[in-house]
Amino acid sequence: MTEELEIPKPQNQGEDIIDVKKPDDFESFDDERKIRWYIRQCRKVQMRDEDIIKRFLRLGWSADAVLEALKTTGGYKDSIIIGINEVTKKFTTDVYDQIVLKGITLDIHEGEFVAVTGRSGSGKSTLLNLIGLLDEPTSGNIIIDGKDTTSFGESEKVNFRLRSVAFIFQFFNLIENYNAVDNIAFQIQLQGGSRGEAHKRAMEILDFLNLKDRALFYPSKLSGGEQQRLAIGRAIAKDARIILADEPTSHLDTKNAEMILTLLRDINIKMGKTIVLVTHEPDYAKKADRTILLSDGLAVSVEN
Amino acid sequence: MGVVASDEKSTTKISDKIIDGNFVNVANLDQIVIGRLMAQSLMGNPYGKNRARAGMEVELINHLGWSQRYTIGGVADAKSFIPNWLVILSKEQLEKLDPSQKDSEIAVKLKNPRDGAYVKSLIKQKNPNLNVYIWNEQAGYVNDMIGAVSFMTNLVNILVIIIVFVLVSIIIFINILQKKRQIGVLKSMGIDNKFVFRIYLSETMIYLAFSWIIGFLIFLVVHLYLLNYPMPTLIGDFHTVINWQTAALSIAALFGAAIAGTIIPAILAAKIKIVDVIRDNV
Repeated sequence: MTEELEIPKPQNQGEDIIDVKKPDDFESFDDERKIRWYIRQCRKVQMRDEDIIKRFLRLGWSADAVLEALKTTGGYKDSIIIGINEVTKKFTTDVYDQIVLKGITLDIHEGEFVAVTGRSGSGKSTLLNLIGLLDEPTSGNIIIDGKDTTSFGESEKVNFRLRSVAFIFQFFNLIENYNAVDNIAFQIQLQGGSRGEAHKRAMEILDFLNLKDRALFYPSKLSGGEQQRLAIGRAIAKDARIILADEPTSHLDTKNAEMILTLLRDINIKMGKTIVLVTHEPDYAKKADRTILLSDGLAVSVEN
Repeated sequence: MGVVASDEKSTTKISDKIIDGNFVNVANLDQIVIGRLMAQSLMGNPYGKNRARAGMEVELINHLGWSQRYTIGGVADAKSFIPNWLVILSKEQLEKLDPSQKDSEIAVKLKNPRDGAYVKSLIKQKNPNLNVYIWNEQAGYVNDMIGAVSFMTNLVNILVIIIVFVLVSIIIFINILQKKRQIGVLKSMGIDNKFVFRIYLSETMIYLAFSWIIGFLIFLVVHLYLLNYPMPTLIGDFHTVINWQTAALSIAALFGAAIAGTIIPAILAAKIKIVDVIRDNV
């Protein structure tokens, strides 16, 4: 980019601009990454896409390039969907107590694609488990969609896992005695869909994932990449607003890992899902809008 | 007195059970009828294949050493222990062998079995020279035998129920151990503890249904075989009977045992913590 893009004040299409702190390594971003960063900042102040295009056109960018960038930049919304307030998690063993998360506070907006990264043992998966109500914080609270989940009873947690959040696991965790279409259809049927509707929707999802010709294959007959795509399909089928992906690429080769990350990005953009991705690969974390770095139990948020 | 053979339940008319020759008749007072087991024992083995036939001669000796030769007029098979060891002869011949048999016997059937002791004392009062017995004083061992068989049957039933309980518990428990991760995955997808519990209850019901059907079919085959070829035992020929009340009770007992065996493992499955099982690659 040859000129700086000015970011206006919220809902003010006038000349007043706000000072937004750029990431420390902003200058090392390539043009495409820079433009995506700018687009996200514009969307945060609720700037309309057509106004974003006008501003870039004034700077000499082509309409096609800007449109392409708009398509590939996450659908950020102003509302906070996940609010983590002073959350601490302590694991107690016979030998010692280990504090994995120390009073973490952070917000994730609806439509964001956030990567959580850090060294092994830094608490990435623990944080994900807490957001997904698979575990409980030792202290603090987690507000999801305006509700304090730490006060949920068992039935509310079950309902939350059924309707509000979808998981993608490191080891795929598919149902071994169901074929591909049934793995997805079962999720839909759990939520009340009829068998016929569930199968129809499952086939549509398999088509989206380029797995339609594998519909009758059992998980053991699918490759690692195909299994993980199927797991993503199951997550999509749930139609939950939040997708939690715990190291979905760690058991895949580079090519399949890239494919999975691209697929997650597509889901974030096309379907507006909020995605929290746990990864220990910094390069993969850069695919997200924002990276949350966990270190020594604390969280630092970095814009990508 | 009070006994009408045709009105009694489960009576056997021995004269209708002749398998060789004829029953005792007045024309041939020196002929006797013997039971099948007696006939077989005369050939050396009461449970062997050979038996004495009609027309053979035998010598009867009583406890006083008196003896008399007779011809076997017929062989009876009442399918029961006591009659199959009997020797049946005319009263005149019996009195020759055992003078005490000159006396008549009168059987009195009471409407209420509990009146036995009272009626006995009444008869004795009026007839002091009569020997009066209640039936189980004469044949009380029959009750003891039935009691023994019932005890063994009940013991076997209790053991079977315990075995079903233990087996079902073990099978379900092993199933849960193998499916622990899958249960965790299902719970992460949004199923609740009741769903998990119902899965295992349904599994038990399926095992129960199939095992009862297979067990009944095996019993039916054995039952039909024994009806045609009853098994000889010391107390008589043995064959199974179908009693639908007993069958219903057995279903209920096995159902209860299976459910009881499922409850604890199913509760354990429902309590599996998701985070503990989904992380490991099993």
